[in-house]
Amino acid sequence: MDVATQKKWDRVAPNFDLMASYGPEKRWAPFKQELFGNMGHGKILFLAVGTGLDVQFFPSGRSILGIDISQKMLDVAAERVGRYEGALTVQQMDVHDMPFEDGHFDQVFTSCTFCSVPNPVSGLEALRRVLKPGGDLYMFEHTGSRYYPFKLMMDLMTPLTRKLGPEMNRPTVENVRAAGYQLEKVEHVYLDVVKTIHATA
Amino acid sequence: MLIEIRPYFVVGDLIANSFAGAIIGALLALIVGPDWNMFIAMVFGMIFGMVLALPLALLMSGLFGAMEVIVPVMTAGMIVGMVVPMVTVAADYTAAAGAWMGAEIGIFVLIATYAANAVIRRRAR
Repeated sequence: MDVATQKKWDRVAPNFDLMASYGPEKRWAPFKQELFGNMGHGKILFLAVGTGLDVQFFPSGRSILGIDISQKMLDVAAERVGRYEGALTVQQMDVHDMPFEDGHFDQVFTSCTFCSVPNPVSGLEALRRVLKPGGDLYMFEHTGSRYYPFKLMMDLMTPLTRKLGPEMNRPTVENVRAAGYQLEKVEHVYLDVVKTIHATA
Repeated sequence: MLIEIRPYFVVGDLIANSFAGAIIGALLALIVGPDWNMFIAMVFGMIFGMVLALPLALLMSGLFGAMEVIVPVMTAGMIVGMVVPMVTVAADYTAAAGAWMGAEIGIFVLIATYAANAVIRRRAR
């Protein structure tokens, strides 16, 4: 378990929804509903379920395991998890230490996760291990931009934002390729910063 | 839709960018004086603007959206931070004048960001 990362998110947990719940969730709702609409009826892993803000967008009747490195985030999520109409369970877990056998899940979903995982490529490799060959990885992520002046601003500010939580300039699409996935589709939600990614193991 | 058209978010973006630009512009007009070296004032203002824009953006992102608020507000903070100190060195701006210029730059950055968003998303299709 990455204790430093766990403690960082434990500290953020009590106030996380103040910053992330209303505006961002309302603004991203159409895009998240479309992405999570791809949830099938097999075994689904949702990485970094956090305070459960995304649960409202899950289609009902699915079998989903949500994991998060922070137990305090999961404590906040409990009520939202309880309201889901389907089989949704959550567990505290580090993506790098998942106890599942190879190829255990049919699909993996992430949402604003790989801006914060300290070793993104190894985290993505860990997810690929637990995905069935050809299984789907669906991501809703914010990344760095290749366009100025956004790139300059994000590169300059990342050392500061990293201390608060996420990094602003992660090359997540390139990281997905580097982790051995086949990239299927990348859709831009806002600039080239917020995007949905579909890849297969 | 290629750009945001929901009124709540369009108005929210305008409020966030003009407010952050005005605060940063006013403070820089107060801090920087005509005796400053223009280059040093610009570099100081850029750093000051970006750092101050971060809490302002986080404050407003809870209401109006995450990266859609943070990216233009922080970009506006960077540009307001470069322009207002240079003008203040040259013309000894008051806080009110700095606030006005900061708000204008904030709105200009927002419009440019909306245009960039449309172009980038259309290209990606």
